[in-house]
Amino acid sequence: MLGSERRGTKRKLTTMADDPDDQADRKTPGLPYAAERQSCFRISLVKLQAAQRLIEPSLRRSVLICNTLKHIEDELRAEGNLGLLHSAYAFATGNTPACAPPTPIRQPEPMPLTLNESAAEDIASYIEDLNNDTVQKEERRKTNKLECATVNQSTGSPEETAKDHSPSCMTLTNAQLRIQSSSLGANTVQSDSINLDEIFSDLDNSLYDIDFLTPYTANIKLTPLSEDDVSNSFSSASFATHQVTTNQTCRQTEEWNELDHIMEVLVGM
Amino acid sequence: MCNRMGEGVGRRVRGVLSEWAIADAGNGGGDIQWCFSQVKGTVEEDVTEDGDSWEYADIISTVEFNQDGELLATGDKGGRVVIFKREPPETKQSLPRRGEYNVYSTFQSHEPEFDYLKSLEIEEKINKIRWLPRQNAAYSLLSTNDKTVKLWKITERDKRPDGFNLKDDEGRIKNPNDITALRVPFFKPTELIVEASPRRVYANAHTYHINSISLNSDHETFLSGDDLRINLWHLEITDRSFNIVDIKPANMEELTEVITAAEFHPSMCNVFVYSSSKGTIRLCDMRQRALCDQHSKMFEEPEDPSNRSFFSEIISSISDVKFSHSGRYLISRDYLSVKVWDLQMDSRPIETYQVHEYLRSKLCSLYENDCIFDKFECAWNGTDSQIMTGSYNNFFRMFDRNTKRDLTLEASRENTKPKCILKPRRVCTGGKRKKDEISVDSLDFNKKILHTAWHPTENIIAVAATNNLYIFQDKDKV
Repeated sequence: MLGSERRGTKRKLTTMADDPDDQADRKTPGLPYAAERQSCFRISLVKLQAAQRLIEPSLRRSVLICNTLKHIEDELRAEGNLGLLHSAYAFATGNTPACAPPTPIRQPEPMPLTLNESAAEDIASYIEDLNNDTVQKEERRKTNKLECATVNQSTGSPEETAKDHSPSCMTLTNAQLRIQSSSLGANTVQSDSINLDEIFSDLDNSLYDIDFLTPYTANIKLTPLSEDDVSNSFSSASFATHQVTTNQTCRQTEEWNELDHIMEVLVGM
Repeated sequence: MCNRMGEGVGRRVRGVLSEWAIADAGNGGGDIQWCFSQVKGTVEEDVTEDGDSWEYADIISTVEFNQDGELLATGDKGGRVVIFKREPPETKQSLPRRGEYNVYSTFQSHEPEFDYLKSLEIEEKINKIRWLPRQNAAYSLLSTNDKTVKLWKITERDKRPDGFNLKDDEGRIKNPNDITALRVPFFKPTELIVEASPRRVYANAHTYHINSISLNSDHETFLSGDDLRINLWHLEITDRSFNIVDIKPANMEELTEVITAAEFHPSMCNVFVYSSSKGTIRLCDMRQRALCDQHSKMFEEPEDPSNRSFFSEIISSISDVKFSHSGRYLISRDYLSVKVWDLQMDSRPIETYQVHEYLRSKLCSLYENDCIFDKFECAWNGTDSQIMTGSYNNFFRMFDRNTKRDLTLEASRENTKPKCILKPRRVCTGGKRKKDEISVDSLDFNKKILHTAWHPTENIIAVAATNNLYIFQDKDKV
């Protein structure tokens, strides 16, 4: 019979139970909800990444994927599970850290940072990525970085800025790109960052220099370590810039190569 | 009567398989018994000598009956339109009783284009076809791809002028010295030629992908809707259109919702609806203001908190919305269900029918393989008592609003035997699988029925299964 031959070629559904790729589930083993959420998060990132076809991808699909990602991120932030957010980003881009979180996604910088501080900076930059416009983020990172760090060090969960300013598909994609860039390590050239600064020097960021997080950080109980960081950062500019420069160069290596892609997507939207 | 197709034989009509079922005396029940009638398209195993089988371009992307049901138009991913016309049965005993749909015209509606500004291709895939009411001997339809709407006129020619004085039979100019007599030219009957010609091209009005076109009941205007905007056109004017809905945010980064479908009310020429990816349907009145961003009514069902998941928003995205013929109701199709709304009540639907609830537990996998983004269409029958929509594994579902009974049928070449009433199919959701049931994990998600159409007055349905078009008829009716 015609049909019976075809039946053998039918595709089977892969169910959640069959999914072996739950490496990101380390922190909360055995919780199907969290595992599903991680998997969904990872898949969403991959889907956004893969939208590089010749034919314009469907706007509806992109918007739905972005909204799904946003829901999951909101949930993760509300729970304070930013480490999971971390590893999900890393896993999606194939840069799984060998050890359990919290480990910085970025390659170790020359600065002798404590684990806490470096993680805080990474988290800060991720949040910034999600909230900022792509072009201005290099500049804004300097001002908002450590404020974001304080937010995450807190015990209470701050109101999500993401709810006020929805991260776009664009910025999420950029977040992935930044992760890709960081994975290449600290083979940076100081001249690169200088060139980029020159290129962006004509951008006027005064309109965008809005501090999203200060209303929320006021009520947050700060850990002593982070308070020190904040006071130090404001007083010693060199400390901040040195950190920023190092991180900048780590991240911008591949970003410059991806800038064309970003502009293309911007124009496309 | 002999038909000659317009622009070359499409692949789809090569290897046409045509069968029919005998309509015997009725069964006395109220339910319709559906029988196989015809199937158009190549069989998968049909590989011709030059190694071609059916292609991506043959996938049917839209199906639409005209106002009297005599014509059935299909559009495919290759930009072609194929129109089938119902031939009256030759004798009373011939089958199918109501006549067969045979190819009437084939033409290339849209060509692939390239957007040089964005360096992106514009697909030639026909997204929608809408028939215009017939006003003269010609038929007219609107067809659209992602960017351009076209008005096509389909005309028949079965005569040609002959007997010219100055030209000979082949059209060559005669030598004037050879003309000895004067005659009156006359019309000579020829074989029927069906020609399609583009009469209007409505272009350059949409930045995003057009997903809907809808003719107004005034028969003078129509709307075209893309992801973020809806434009109103006059059929005669191609260089101008009015924007009536614009949901594009000032900052594209804040975009969270897109328009998924739009339709004019069947009798109120000032009313239209549009659905969104967030599961809302907005009804707008064009008399209120020129830009209908403010809706008159919004139809939205509050979310069931017990069914909440990461995919709640995606599965609530409405893929199709259709007014009933009466204009009193409308149906909306989201991923798992079809909802019937009363225009008078916007708080919740009056009826909800589950299409394939067994997929709710599989949403993560369906998200992974992109099936969750499939856009299924839905259709009313002529009397607004039944609703039809498609599913996976070439299944399609019928819901009777009066008896509340539902039926699952399969569009498959297995059921093309004569005297063959389609057997209802059942999906096993858990536990022991009974005989004749199919388990959820065995469903073929590549075989999806996205496009279906119901004859405006009779119980004849057209179901598009990838590259094949199935026509089913009610067993009882003569």
